[in-house]
Amino acid sequence: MDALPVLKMLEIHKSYFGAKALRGVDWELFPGEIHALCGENGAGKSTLVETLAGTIRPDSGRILLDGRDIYLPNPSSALKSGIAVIHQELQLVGCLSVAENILLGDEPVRLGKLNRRAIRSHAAISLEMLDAKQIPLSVAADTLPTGQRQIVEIARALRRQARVLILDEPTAALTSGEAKHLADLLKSLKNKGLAIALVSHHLDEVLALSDRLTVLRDGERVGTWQRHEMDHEKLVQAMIGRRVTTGANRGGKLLENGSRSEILTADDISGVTLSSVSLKIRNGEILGMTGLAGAGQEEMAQILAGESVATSGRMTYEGQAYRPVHPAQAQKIGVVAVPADRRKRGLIAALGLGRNLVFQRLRQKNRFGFLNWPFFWKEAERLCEDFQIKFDRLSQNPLTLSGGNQQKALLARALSTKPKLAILNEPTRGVDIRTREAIHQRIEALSASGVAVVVISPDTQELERISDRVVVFRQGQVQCELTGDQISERRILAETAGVAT
Amino acid sequence: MAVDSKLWLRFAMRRWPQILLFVAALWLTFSTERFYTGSNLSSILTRAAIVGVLAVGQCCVLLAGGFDLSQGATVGLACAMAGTAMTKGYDSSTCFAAALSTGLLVGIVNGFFVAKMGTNPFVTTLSGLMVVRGLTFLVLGGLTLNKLTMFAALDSKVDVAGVALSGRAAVFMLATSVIWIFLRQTLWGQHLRATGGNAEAARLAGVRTDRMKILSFALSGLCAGLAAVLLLSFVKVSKTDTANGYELDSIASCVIGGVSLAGGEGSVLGAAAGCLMLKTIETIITLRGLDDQYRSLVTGALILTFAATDAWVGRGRRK
Ligand SMILES: Nc1ncnc2c1ncn2[C@@H]1O[C@H](COP(=O)(O)OP(=O)(O)OP(=O)(O)O)[C@@H](O)[C@H]1O
Ligand SMILES: [Mg+2]
Repeated sequence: MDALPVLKMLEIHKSYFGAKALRGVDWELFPGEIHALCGENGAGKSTLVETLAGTIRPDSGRILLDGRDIYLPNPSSALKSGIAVIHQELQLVGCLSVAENILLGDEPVRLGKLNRRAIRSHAAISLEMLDAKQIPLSVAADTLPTGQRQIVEIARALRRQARVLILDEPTAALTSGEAKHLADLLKSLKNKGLAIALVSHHLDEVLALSDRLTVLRDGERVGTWQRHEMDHEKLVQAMIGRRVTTGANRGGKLLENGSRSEILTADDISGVTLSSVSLKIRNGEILGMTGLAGAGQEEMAQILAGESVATSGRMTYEGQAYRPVHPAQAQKIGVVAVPADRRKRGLIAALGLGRNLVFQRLRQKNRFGFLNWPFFWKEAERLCEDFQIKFDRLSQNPLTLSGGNQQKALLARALSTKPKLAILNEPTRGVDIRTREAIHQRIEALSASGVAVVVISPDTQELERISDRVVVFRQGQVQCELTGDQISERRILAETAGVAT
Repeated sequence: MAVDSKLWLRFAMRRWPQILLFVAALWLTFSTERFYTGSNLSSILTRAAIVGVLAVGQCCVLLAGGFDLSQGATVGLACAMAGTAMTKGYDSSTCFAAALSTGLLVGIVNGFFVAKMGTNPFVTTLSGLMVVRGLTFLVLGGLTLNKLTMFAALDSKVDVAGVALSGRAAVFMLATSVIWIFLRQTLWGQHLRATGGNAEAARLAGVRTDRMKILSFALSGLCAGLAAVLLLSFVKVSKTDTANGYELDSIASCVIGGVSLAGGEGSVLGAAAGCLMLKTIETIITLRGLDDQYRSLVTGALILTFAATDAWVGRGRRK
């Protein structure tokens, strides 16, 4: 790469009340490259990216665009400089149409009046350039699946003549099909000369896509490598400072002693997306549920946890009829769920980290409604240590934790209630590989202690790693149930798409 | 912990608009010569008591993510009910119960609509305001009740640890502390705050969010009933437009006290302190010889300046 870098960052520092998130990071991006940014949870990746998005101001350091110093005090200045950042939490206006979102802030106006026809045609051209003509222009943006929403955001960025495109964990919430489509798209954009940076915890994906890699650790840059100098093992070594051994796949361990009792049975359950689904969950097993977005596995999880109510069907729990209409009822008898969307449906910012951690146990430990706070504070500290949550102080807003640490906090909150049936929605979304392994081991330990665990995940690798049984959903019904050595990534993928032999 | 030394700094950064206002109030207090004389200083608390109690109730609703516009009207109705009870010859404790239960009932109805029917809190309590005023008119038959002396005892001074405190001020302080402890130390207090912070997340975590919303409005109504008692002890009159517009003062107190209108953030101590500041400033304006008509202008401008600074500071606070 002998061209000049489009973007160069020098000695970037950023700290929050003394907690250092970035300590003098240098970074260069060249046109026509895909550059991966790797590191553990809390390493500072998002912080670095946000300084470029204009959403965070660094304490010190220089940012150079084409060799000239630039100053990015706000998001619009970043856009004007040609830097587009796709955040992990997508930034579309849900109630506006796809076309309106693409042209947002840049609407064609004729004689003071919005030119709707031009909006549609410009939007259509933008989507066509991305080979995404199948996305409807006039539907509201929040009705699209995540993968398409992401493409709409990229279309918006490119309309603003972005020369640098940065994506923060774009594939964390995508199905493998969507992720592949995105990968192809990024490659074609790279060939058009864009400088692309990508933050991701999926190391295979990173290695398949990137031309160069930069690794951050504790806010410092460990190094930058060409793709051919790196392999999986070296990358992990650079990120963590040592090797991580992933446990062996379970491969339906429970098959031999399949005589375990059932903790929950669901019969003929129908709902908004579900039509007559039957399921059994046994004590001490890890049941994977998967499918495309909207195929029914998400709703099934909600019905099991009392978050939504089935329109018809019966359930039994520990031999008793079970029909919870509120999560509180489910939790009282030992069914607890961890939501996938940790920011909107999980953590409660107003309460602070410590109170969030013990929130679901407040009912268990109080005298006439008066809470034993000293006990809970100690408990919160213990949970942070136990789940290795990287935090600053317990009163901190939990949403200022790094993504992976938010996930750990949410798991800690739910699992510390000592459930009998744990329903985990995407338990390792946005989590680094060390923590991922730790969470997997924790799930296995949970099941070994007799707890039934349901894992809902689009991540086939994860399902192969930890499930005893996988139920694949398709169009609101159970497509198939895989056990033992039927559980393989390829088989699961084929079944979700409905192309199985 | 090592970070403890920075704690006050963090507090100062989060709350500097309040601190600034407090300093300004102090400065005004001591630079206004006549303010320091006589009963003025001791009577601030008394003066703030009625709106202060309302502000504490309003704070509960705001924390749970709601909004209560019907407080003033509720005070009016509670006054009318208690007054009617007295004219019918009931003793003062029955009148007291009449005022509180009227407030509580209005609060529960508001809460029921918001939580169970899903109506917007603003719309619900706005229409509640009108309905309750109408009811007050019916109860009083358009007349004014005079010489309502059943709560006059609260007007006298009590001696608390060497400080002469009016009964009203004592009730205000007591109500504030009880609700403060309730919100901080109890399960329901936590659940209430969580409901306002993120209702969906709270529900999924097992909080009966609808019950918490009803509870918050019930507390606000109860506070309105208590405020009616305090008001009667003072004016001893019940009219159809009693306490008109008090809800706006209570909301202003909450805003000044740092209670977030978006829910979840703030404390009743803040709301009470906000009310004290509001009253201090009003008193000073009067003492400085400004016309009454300027009072509203100056307080309004102050609140806006305050809110703007708060929003400006908040911009840095969010990630
Ligand atoms: N507003 C804030 N207040 C306090 N600390 C913060 C704030 N924002 C970030 N941090 C801290 O800065 C550090 C870096 O966070 P960052 O989000 O950049 O990590 P990350 O590398 O993106 O991790 P992840 O992979 O989990 O998303 C973390 O320790 C985090 O707790
Ligand atoms: Mg991040």
